[in-house]
Amino acid sequence: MIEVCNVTKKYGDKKALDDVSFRVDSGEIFAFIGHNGAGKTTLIKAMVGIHDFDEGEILIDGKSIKADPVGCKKIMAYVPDNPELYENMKAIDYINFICDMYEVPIQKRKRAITKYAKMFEIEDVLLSPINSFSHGMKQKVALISALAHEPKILIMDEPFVGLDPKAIFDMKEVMHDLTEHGGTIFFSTHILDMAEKLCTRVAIVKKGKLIKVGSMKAVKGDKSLEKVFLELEK
Amino acid sequence: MRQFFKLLKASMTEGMDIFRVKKKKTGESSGVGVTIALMLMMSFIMLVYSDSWFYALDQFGKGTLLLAIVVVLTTVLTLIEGIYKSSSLLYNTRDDDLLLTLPISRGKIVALKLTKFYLFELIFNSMFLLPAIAVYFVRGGAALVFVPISVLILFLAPVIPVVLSCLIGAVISAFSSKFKKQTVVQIIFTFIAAIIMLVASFYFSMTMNSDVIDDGIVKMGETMTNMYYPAKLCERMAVEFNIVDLAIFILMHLAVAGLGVLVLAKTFFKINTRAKMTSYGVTKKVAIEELEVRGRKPIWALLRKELNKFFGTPVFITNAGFGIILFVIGAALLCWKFDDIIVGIETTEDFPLSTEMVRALLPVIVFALMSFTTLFSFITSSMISLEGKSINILKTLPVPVMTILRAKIIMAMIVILPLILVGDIVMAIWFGFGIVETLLLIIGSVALPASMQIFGILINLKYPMMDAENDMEVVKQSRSTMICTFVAMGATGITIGVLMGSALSGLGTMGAMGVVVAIYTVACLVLDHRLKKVGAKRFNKITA
Repeated sequence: MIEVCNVTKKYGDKKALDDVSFRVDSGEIFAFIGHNGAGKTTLIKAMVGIHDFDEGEILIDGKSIKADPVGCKKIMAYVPDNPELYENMKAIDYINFICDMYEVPIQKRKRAITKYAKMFEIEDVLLSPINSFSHGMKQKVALISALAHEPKILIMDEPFVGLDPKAIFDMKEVMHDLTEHGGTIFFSTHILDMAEKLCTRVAIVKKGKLIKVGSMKAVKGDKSLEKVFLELEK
Repeated sequence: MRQFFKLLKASMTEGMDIFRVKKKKTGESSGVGVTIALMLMMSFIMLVYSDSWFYALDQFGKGTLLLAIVVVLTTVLTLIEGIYKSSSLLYNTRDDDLLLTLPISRGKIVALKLTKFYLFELIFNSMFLLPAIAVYFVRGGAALVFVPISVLILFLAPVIPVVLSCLIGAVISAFSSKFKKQTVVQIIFTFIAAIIMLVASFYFSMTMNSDVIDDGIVKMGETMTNMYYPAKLCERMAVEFNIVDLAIFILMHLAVAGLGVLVLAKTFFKINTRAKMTSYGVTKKVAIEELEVRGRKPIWALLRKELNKFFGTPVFITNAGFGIILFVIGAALLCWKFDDIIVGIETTEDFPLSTEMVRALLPVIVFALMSFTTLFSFITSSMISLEGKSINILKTLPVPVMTILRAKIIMAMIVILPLILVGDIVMAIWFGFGIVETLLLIIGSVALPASMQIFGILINLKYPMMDAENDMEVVKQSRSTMICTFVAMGATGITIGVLMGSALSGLGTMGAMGVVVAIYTVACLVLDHRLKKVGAKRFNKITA
C-alpha cells in the first residue's frame, strides 16, 4: 500500500509538486498520467527515495520513506523510464547484483531469472555486457531485476517505452499476476488506451497539482480516458 | 566558425565543472572559490620557485632562461598527463552520437575535442607560466614589448603537447581497438607511453645533475632550450624582440595544431567506430539453467560492482595506478641503487645530510616515499561522479548509504594496498628495519591512504559532477579531483616536513614515524565521523 500525503517539492521558487495526496491500495494497478513536465517523474523519484521532498509524507506499507528508507526499499522495486544500468556488467551479473542487494535466496533467484529471462526472451544474451544492448533490452534487464525479488510494491516510470509488443503483453500479464497476489503497482504512462484497460485507478497531474484521482470508471465516466485527459488539460 | 564557437560554448558548459559558479537546479554555491583559492596558492608556490630559479640564473647573467625552463617543464607535464587523458577524451565519449549526427565535418568535431582539452591545459599551465612571466617581468626588468609576447607564449605553449599527446592517444586507441580486451591493451600501452616519457625526462635531468657544479641550473636551462626549439624561441624573444622569431613561433604552433586536427580527423571516424564495436564484446551462449548464480552479502556485491567499474574505466586505472607503479619503481630503485645514491651524496658538495645520517634516516625516507604515493592515490574523489545517472540505482537499493560509501572506500584500499604493503615489507627486509619501524610503516601505509580515501569521498559528495561527457572529465578535470590534488600536495609537504623535522629534532626515526601515524589515525577517525554525519545527507541530495 502506498500513501502520498500532501507532498510538495520545489525547485527554487517553482513547485514541481504542489500538495499532492492520494492512496494506492494492495491489489491495485494505479496509473499516473500527465503532460511532459507535469511532475510525474518527480513524484515517482520521491516515492522510491531518489529525491527528497520539501513537505508532506510518503508511506510505503505504513513506513515513511523519509524515516525508514531502507525498510521501504526492501519491499518495493523501481523501474526507471530510461534504464541507466551498469554498462560494464554482463546482464546476468547486474541481475545478480540487484538480487544480492535484496538478499534473494539462490534457488528463488534462479527460478525468477529463468522464468523472466525466458518470458522476455533475453536468455541468450544474459552473458553479454549491457553496453551492447538496445534500449528495449536494457528495459527488460531492469524489469527482470525489479521482479526477481518479488516486490510487494512495483513502481514504474513509463515501463512500456522501448518494449516490443510481446514484451508489453507479457509485462501486462506480470502486472495482473502481481496484483492478484496482493501486490501494488503504480506507474506513469502516456499510453492512455493501455492505462484505461489495465488500471483499476488513475490520477491525473497538471503542473504539479493533482487534478483528478479515483477509480477508472469514476474518472472517465462514459468517455474515453484520452478525452477526459485532454479536456482536463485544457 | 560561429557554429564551432556555439558548439564549444555548449560543450564547455558541461565540461568545465570546476569553474561552474552555480549548480543548475539548487542554485547553491558550487565552491568555485575553493578551486580558485587553491589555484592561487599553487601559483604563489610557483612564484616563490620562479623567483629562486631566477636568482640562481641571474647570477650567471642567464635570467632569460627562466621562461624557457618553465615552458619545457609545463610541456613535459602536459604531455605525460595528456597521453593518458587523450584516448578517453577523443573516442567513445557520451556526446559522440549527438556530434556525429550534426551537419558538421569530422575536422570540426576533432577540433572541438582538442580545443576543450587545450583550454583546460591552458588554465592549468597558467598556474606555472604566469608566475614565471611575472618574476621575469619584475626581476628581469623586461621591456613593455615583453607583455604581448608573454601573453602569446602563455596561449601557445600548451598547443604542441596537447596535439602530440592526442596523436599518441590516437595511435594507442587504434592499436588497442584491434584486440578483444581493448581496455587492458589500452591501459598497458598508455602506461608504457607515460613511463617512457617519465623515464626519458628523469634520465635527462640525471644527465644534467651529473654536470651540476654551481651553474647546474644554467646548463639545465641551456640544454632544455636546445632540445625544445619553441623554448629556445621563447628565450630569444625574452632577450630581444625579433619579428622573425615571433612569426616562426606563431606559425610553428598553428602548423602543429592544423596538422594534428588534419591527421586526427582523417582517422577519427574509423578508430571511434572500432572502439565502440569492440567494446560490445562477444556473446557466449549458455543454457539458462547452466548459468552460474551466486549469492553475495550486499557489501561484497557492492565491492564487486566497484571493482568492475574500476577495471572497466581505463582513465581511472591509469590515474590511480600511475602513482602505485611509481612507488614500485621508486622502491626498486632505492633497494638496487642505494649504494650509488650514497656514493652520489658523498661526492656532492654542500649536501645537507651526511651519508651516516641518510642511512640512519632510511626508515623515514621510505615512509616519505610511501606517503607521497598513497596521498596522491585519491581514487574515491571521482567515484560518486563516475556513477553518473546510475546513482539512481544505488539510491533505490535497500542498503544503508554508509554501506555504499564504505564499499567505495574499501575498493580504493584494495587497489592501493597490495603493492604498497609488499613494497614496504621488501624494503623493510632489504634495509633491515626493526620490528617497530616496520609496523609503523605498515600502519602508516593503511592510515594515510584510508584518510585520503575518506576525504576523497567527502569532497566528491560535496562537489559531484554527474553530467560529464566522458570519464576523463570526471577523473581528471572535476572540482573534487582538483581539490584532492591540491590537498595531497599540501599533505605530502606537511607530512615530509613533520617526518624530517621530528627525526632531526631528536625524536628519532621511530618517534617521527609515530607522530605521523598518530596524526593520520586521528585524521581517519575524524573524517570517518564526518562521513557518518554528513555522508548519507549529501548522497541523498545528489541529483542526476
